[in-house]
Amino acid sequence: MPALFAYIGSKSVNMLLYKTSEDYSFHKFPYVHTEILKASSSKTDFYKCLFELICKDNELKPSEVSFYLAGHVSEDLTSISKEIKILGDEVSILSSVKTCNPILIGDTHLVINDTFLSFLPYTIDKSGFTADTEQSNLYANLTIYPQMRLTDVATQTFVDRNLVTMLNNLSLVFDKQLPLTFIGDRFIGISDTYESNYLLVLALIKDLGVYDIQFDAYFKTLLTTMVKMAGFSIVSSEQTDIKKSFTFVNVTGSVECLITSNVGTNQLIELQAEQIFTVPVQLNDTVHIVVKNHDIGVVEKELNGSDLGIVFDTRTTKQVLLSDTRRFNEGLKVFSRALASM
Amino acid sequence: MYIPVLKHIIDAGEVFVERVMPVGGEVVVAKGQEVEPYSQLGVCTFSQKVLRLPLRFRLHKNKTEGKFFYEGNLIGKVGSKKITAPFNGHLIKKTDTNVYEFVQMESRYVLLSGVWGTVHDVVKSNSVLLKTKAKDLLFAASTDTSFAGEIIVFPNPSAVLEKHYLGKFAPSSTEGKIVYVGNHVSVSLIKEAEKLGWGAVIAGSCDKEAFSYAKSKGISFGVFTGFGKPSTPQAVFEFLNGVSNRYVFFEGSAGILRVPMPKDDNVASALDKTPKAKKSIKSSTSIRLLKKGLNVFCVQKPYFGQVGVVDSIKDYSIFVKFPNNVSAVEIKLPNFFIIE
Repeated sequence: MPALFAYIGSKSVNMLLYKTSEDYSFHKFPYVHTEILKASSSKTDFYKCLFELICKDNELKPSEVSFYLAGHVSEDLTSISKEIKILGDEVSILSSVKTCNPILIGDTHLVINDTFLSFLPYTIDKSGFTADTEQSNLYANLTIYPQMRLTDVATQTFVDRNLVTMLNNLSLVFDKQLPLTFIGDRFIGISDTYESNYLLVLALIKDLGVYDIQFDAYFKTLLTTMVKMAGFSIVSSEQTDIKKSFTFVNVTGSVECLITSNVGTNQLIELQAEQIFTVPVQLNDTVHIVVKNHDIGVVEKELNGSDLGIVFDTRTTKQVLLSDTRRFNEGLKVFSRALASM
Repeated sequence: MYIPVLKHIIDAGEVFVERVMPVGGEVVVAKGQEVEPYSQLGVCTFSQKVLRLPLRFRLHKNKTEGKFFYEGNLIGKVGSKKITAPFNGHLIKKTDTNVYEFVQMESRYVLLSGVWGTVHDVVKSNSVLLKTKAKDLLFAASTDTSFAGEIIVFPNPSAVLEKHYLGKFAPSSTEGKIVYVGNHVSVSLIKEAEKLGWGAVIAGSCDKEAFSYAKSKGISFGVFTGFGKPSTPQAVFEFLNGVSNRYVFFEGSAGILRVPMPKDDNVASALDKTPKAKKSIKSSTSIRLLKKGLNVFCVQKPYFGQVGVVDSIKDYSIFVKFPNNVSAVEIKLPNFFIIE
């Protein structure tokens, strides 16, 4: 029996339409039901309409499809169909992911491992009112229109600064053998604010080491996990693969890196402290790197080409990137140049 | 590209409205009777206003409690400040608290219908339940209060004209009314509205600070578009203009302004029951395929709150023609809705 797996997030609905273990497709609907849409339909009718459209576009009868939901779901959604099951919430699905280190990024929340972090986006002054008008208005509008996509770097950076601040006292350690996968709607396509995504990664990861970084805008990580949780099997393909965005070398102080290509050519990169630097590695290439630094010792790694190649961050103070104007602008230039050459 | 459909004005269909007298009186209508907004439903007699005087209040010499005072007469002092009667009434002293109250002379109060409809039920000497048809205007955000009253619609003044308009209209013309103030309302205007005794304030947008203030003070307040400076959708403003001075219902917890509709709107509703109309209604779903020529409501700066026409559709964005722009503007997906 075909199945539709739907992850209802805070900003979008991401779906996997499963016909067989080899015949499946991903779909994204960049809206969720909120109060502002209640005049058009109830939450149940809204999602029922969406699922029916997806089924009909793929020549399936909704009555012959079983539905599996996860994320921001409530029991009333089970009335959508007779064959429907709720698999879990954000945290439970994320903590079931075993193939990578998943980090879910929202506008006002982060989910890392089994921890859900959210913050109150207003600064209350002594009189009891919000301190900064523009900031308060932005978050208030995001409550009404959560699907809103930010279109300028300044606003995106302001949001990211608040996200990073949440992790101030948290020490996150990741399994470096697995890629770090950032999941969120902001990672879709190349946009006016795409440099912010790289700056966010650099600001969030405090633990030193060498990481493979992936951006998952279609929530494939969570959807394939849902498929397995429901007892289905899925054959990996180009569709399920999440392209690596870059390899991140996170150290403090000077670093040396020897890059050996598959045709035997060598490139030696030597960087001083307080730098952000990118080295392109073509998508079809495979290279071997040896990284030497006093923090991480000697690390060898085989890596495939990616969008941005290798990104080095040798700054000694990691978290101030988004609040230190000079460093922020330097970082922005680095990634703007790198993206322009892609 | 599938896009959700946003509606600002919806047909609520048949609704019940209860009209209650402030004190027991006489209900003058019967079940099944047709009524119009100015139809009398009941009559009672009561004091409509009370002035509570502070503990330090001292009665004027030769005056006693229980005595009648004409409006403007000196009734006593609080410290050195003279207190005059704000209306015709009696001075009474509450025995339990020893506090003076100046109570307006009882006057005849007529309970008007406020809506077109039919008397559905009557509670003797107390209230009338009316069945009527209504349209609901949806708020983007509203405080969790209720208020019913006459709606006053100001045009869309700029901030510069704001005080001019407020000064021009006497406080008594807006006291106890639901007032639409324009595209944007500031916290200073909310405070002024509170002082003037407005029943409710509605606008296109406001700053978060203004909304938080209204919420903290229990003021009935709603905005149609959002926060910041976006304007009221033109269709909403035109609708409000058409119902100015009508008796309406602010239902903040439901996020709506309920506007009872006239009887001849019932005729239009009857036409909706024809097979052709029914088919049209059925095909209007909550998510539709986006096509060139459709109206869209945008939530991307600087076009936040504006409605335009789809000119072309790309993979991750659309081009929209707004009324005030010569050329089409790019709006990113998903910063827009189809608007009906």
